Amino acid sequence: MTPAKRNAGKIAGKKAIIFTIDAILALILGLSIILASLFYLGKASAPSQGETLQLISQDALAVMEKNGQLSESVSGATALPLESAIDMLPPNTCARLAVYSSLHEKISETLRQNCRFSEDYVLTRRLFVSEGNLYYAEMEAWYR
Amino acid sequence: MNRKSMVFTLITLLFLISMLMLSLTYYRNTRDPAKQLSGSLAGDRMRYLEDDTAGSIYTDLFSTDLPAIAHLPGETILNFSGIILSETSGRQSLIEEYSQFVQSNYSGMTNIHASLENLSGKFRVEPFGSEISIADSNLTVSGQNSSALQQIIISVRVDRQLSALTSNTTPPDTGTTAVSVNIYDSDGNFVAGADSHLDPSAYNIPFSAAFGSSLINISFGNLVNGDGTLLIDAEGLEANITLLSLAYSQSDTLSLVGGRIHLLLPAWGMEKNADIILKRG
Repeated sequence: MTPAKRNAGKIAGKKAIIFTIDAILALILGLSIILASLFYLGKASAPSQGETLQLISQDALAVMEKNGQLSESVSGATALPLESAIDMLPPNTCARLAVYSSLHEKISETLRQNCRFSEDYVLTRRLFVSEGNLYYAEMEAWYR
Repeated sequence: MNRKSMVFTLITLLFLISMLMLSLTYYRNTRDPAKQLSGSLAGDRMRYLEDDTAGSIYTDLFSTDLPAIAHLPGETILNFSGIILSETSGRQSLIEEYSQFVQSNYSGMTNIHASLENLSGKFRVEPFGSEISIADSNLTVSGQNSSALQQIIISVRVDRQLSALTSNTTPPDTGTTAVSVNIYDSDGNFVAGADSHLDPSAYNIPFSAAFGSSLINISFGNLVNGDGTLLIDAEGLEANITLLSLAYSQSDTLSLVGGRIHLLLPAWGMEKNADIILKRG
């Protein structure tokens, strides 16, 4: 083998290494962009469990206010309307519902039957007025 | 050489596919922002907060149902019922307390900035230009074109007995606006009232019933707030307006607007500043 041919072989070998590294880097970059876009697409359409619980709590409190159950619980001084209201939640959901005055004094508190309190809850609040007084309800919801 | 070309082509294709996917995602997310917003969790949260703070302001603060709206050929009728006027109603202080609570406590508890602007018991009737103001012991309808109101019907029950009536007045006809007033006592006995036709740009004698120093006074015409002003004033007694019917001389979609709401959700980067539409019909 002539020295010229040996040199050409060495240069070709270096080029191949450079092209291979370049290709691997490009492949990694391309795949990362695809994965990032897939993650971005997936994220927009799948709410987390906490977000679903938040929506359930918001709907439940809005219904309780519009049905007058929150108002009844303070005007009748009984937690019965709240107990029946939280029993309407999905069976896999637990909740603690408390009603406070505008001065943050607790008026009543109800825990759904057969539920144990959990630290991992979602908190939602709702304002309401009853007989000329301002109150707010606070619901902590979690999965069984 | 062929292998290198193939790798180069594959990499170029991968890049192009990823760019295409990103472009499609961006296009889908931005083509309809309103739809995107309403369908998103942030939109749900914003809607919930708006409904919570301003959704039932009228019924909560005025302890009465929203007025009914009716459309007849050539006229739009707005019917209020169950508005209680009394110096001890505490309505104004409740409005102030509510507004203050939303701005300070509620904003802090929900980690947002919420405020209710111009919440004072005044409502605009659009597109007729009327302003309805409900204070503790009086109700005023003013601001509309003097010929916009073609008929007013008022029925009031006061917490006094007919036997305690000391004087009453009713106005003579002076114009074309039909004003019908009926004042009843606590037992439902007719106390005072008449069907009159009044000039909205003139000063007219009020419909009134006095029980000693207590008085119910219903005036229509040129008053402090201008031509075509209606004023129902309860002095020293409680008046339950069982019916206040305002017939506007035009058939149009009516909106009852009361104040403005401003919501800022820093965590979501969203803001809303809008009129509080109490009722539309």
